[in-house]
Amino acid sequence: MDELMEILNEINPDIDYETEDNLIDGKVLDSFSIVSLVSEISEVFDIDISPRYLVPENFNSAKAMWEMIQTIQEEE
Amino acid sequence: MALTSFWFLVFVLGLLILYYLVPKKMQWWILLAGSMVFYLCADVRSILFILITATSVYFGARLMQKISDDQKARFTEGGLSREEKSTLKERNNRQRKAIMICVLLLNVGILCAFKYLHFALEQFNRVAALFGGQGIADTFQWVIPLGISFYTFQSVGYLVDVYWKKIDAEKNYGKMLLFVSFFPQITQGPISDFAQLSGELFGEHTFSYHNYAWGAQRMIWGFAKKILLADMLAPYISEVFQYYYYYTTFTLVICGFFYSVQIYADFSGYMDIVCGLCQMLGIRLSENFERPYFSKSVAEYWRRWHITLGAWFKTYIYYPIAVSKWNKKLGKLARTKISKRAGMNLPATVALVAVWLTTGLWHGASWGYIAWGGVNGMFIIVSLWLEPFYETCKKKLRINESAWLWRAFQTLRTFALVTVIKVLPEVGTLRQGLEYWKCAFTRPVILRNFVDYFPYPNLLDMESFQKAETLGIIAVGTILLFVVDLLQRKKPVREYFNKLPGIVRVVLMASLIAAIILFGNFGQGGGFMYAQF
Amino acid sequence: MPSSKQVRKAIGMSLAVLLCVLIVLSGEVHLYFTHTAYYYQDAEVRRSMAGSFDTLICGASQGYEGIMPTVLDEELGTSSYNISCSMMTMQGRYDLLQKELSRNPVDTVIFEVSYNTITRNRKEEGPEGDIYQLGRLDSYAERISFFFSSFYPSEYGDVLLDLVDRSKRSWHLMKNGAIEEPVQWETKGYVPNEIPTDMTLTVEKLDTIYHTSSVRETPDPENVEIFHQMMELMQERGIRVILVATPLSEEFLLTQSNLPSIMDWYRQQADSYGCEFYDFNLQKDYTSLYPAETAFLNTTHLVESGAETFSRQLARVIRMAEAGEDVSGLFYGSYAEAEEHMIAQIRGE
Repeated sequence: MDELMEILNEINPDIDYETEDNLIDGKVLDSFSIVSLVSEISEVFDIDISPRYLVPENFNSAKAMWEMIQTIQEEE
Repeated sequence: MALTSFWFLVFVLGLLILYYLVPKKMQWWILLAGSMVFYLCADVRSILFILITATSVYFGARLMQKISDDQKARFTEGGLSREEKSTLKERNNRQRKAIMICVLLLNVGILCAFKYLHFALEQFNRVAALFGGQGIADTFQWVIPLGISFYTFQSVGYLVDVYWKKIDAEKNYGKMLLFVSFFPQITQGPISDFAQLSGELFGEHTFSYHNYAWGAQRMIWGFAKKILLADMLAPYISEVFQYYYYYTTFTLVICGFFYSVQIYADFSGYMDIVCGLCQMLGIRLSENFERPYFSKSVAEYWRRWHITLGAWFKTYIYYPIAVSKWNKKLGKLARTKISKRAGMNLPATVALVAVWLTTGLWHGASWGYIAWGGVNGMFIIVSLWLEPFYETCKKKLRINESAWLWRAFQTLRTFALVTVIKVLPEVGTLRQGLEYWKCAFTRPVILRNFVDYFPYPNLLDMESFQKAETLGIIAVGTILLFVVDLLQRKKPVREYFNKLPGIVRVVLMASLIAAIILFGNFGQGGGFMYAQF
Repeated sequence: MPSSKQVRKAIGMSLAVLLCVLIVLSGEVHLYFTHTAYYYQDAEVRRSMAGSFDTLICGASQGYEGIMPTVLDEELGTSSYNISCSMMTMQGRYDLLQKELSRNPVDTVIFEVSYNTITRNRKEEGPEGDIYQLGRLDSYAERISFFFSSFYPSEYGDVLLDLVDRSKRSWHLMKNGAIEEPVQWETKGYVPNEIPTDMTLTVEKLDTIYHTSSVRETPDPENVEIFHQMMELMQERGIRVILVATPLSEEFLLTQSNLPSIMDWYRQQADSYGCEFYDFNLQKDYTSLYPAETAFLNTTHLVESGAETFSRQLARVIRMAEAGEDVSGLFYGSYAEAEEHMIAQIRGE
């Protein structure tokens, strides 16, 4: 989880990822950030994020992202 | 059946009545029957192609589903080693991918054949000519099936969603056919995704006065936008676009402005009609417009204009390319060789180029449209790369981002930019589009009289009372459009409207309808031998 | 089943809106019917002059723009009115004829016939003629019954929208005080074309167009039936019927290869009903009477000067026939003969 927070803060340090839960629907993170984010996450956690995971529900909060990462890791 | 025709209204009325009379479980049957009737009325010869798409996608999805269901069952059974599981998974994924690609190629192939064959042949012939060879004859004519761009995209989206296991395949062929051919969407979209639309289409709908009234109000407003504003402006704009070299700079600029107004009124008016109709059926369609001319950047504009197309491209082209393995490698390379920022931006840029060239091509089979897509993409890519530079400038100039003046500047700048870009492919060829703006900005400025600004009335064969009337309607229409859009920032205007007393609502609606009938041009008067008397 | 309260509210509000719209539209349409914004709206003229006509001219646009009642009255001492109209259908002619016969002491009817009078097909050509007719009726009862009896259901939408268009114009003209008195008060039904088109045929043009086209030859069965009904009606009343073909331009006459077949049909009818038929395209001195440069508006219609000349010629023939003189000497015997003379003129022989 810490690693995830590190990545997020690198992308955009001005957001409080502990509490923010509307990152996509609230247009806090745009599609460019998502791409960088996905790239970093798959690098750091050594997973393959298929495009089917690129839905708002999985990226609206840090917690959602963490859950997604764990799901993918379990699948592999 | 044109949406602005008398018979369409009769059709809608019949549909509504049947829809709410039948048992709720059968409501989607009525929609399917209606969609088939609509398609057959519009385009009998092409029904084959939409059936090919629906059928191929139906079977392709079900086949893929079977493979993954079987796999799940096999895994649940147990008794497989890790390696066996992995091999099975890989084999199944290969199979599913193969199926997906076949069906995809079939349908996209059909789309490309209809839309781009002429263009492709043209380019081939050009190249052949360069080498002194003979080209291929390009004289065949075929009718492009109604809505092929829209229903192909919608079906392909469904197929890929099943491939990605985002959704399960639809088992009922009738439902699949309805999803592909749903008549409100077929001509101009919106492009929906299966997860959202299926819930709406196949659900059970109870008649509610609220949906009926709000839907009808929206439909009428859409008709007004289209008939009283867009159609009124159309002849003027096509005249100036065709003969731009005759007109003064002011005329060209003002025509550009009104083109933006016209295309918005036309397209969003159509969406209002379609979404309003669906609301009357208790069905929620995705929105395609969100007050786009109030955007503050080109990137934002494309999130607010033709939203569902942008979303489709984002989901099925942008993201897959952006997060693909080779793109990731590219990003890594850029990060180590150039900079961290480059590493972040390069994959996105590559994906954007792909998205924008294909978006341009989707809009039209010409270099003009490809260039249009490219220019839009270029603005977005450039602002992505220059973002840190902009931030520094803004800090240095001490610009307050939330200041009203700054936001107004951003909005006007964006509106001007998208207008200039938008006009390019519409004038004719790419070169003509560029010439248009060259004329607009490089000719000497001559101010004579009002006619120079807006020679609309003199262009058309109208009696004097009609000229004044048309100008008045355009002025009122444009202002009203702007005001309504402004008000929509907080909530739908219908919320304000429906708070008014019943009598006032009836009178206002009746006035709008009467205005549409009285001032609208429904193609009459043409073909009358004695009309000049 | 949906909640009936909701449904009733929806239906109620919808009907209320529809009613308001209809009220607004009817108000505007009423202006069209009660004012004379259009040239063909002569209902009031005929109504107020009713009872004074002993001669009627019944035709379509060729008659409307070609035969001047004032000239006939001057030459023959009649009191005539031209009830023709642009694109008038056979049924339209019959209806209006019946109406005017019922309120006037008519003893003569000049029935204009042309190359397409009997061969036109109403369904093919569309509602234009009936739209003008609709604007010439006297009461709402007549208009409503005419609407449902003359228009096809597929035309209803177009006709109603057209009505709205015409109403708009009437409203605007009325607002600006620009509605003019119908010219028919003075011309007694005739509507003049003022500006001629030069229809001169050069030798080169003649060679390219000679007999390169043909008119429809088969009489439309519906038209034929109505024609017989009209002839029988007039016979019953002992009315003198004069079938008249108005002059068409040389260009038209020389382009069409089969006009005689249509004209023969009229001649046969005239013989079988024992009435007169004069084809003024066969008139001798045709080229000097109706000069190509000045007498025509287009290939098939006369302008005012041409119409005046023609009306006088018509009056002359009628007078001679009445006096028992032989008028056949004024006409060529066949189209072949007439064309020979026309072509000779053109070639300057």
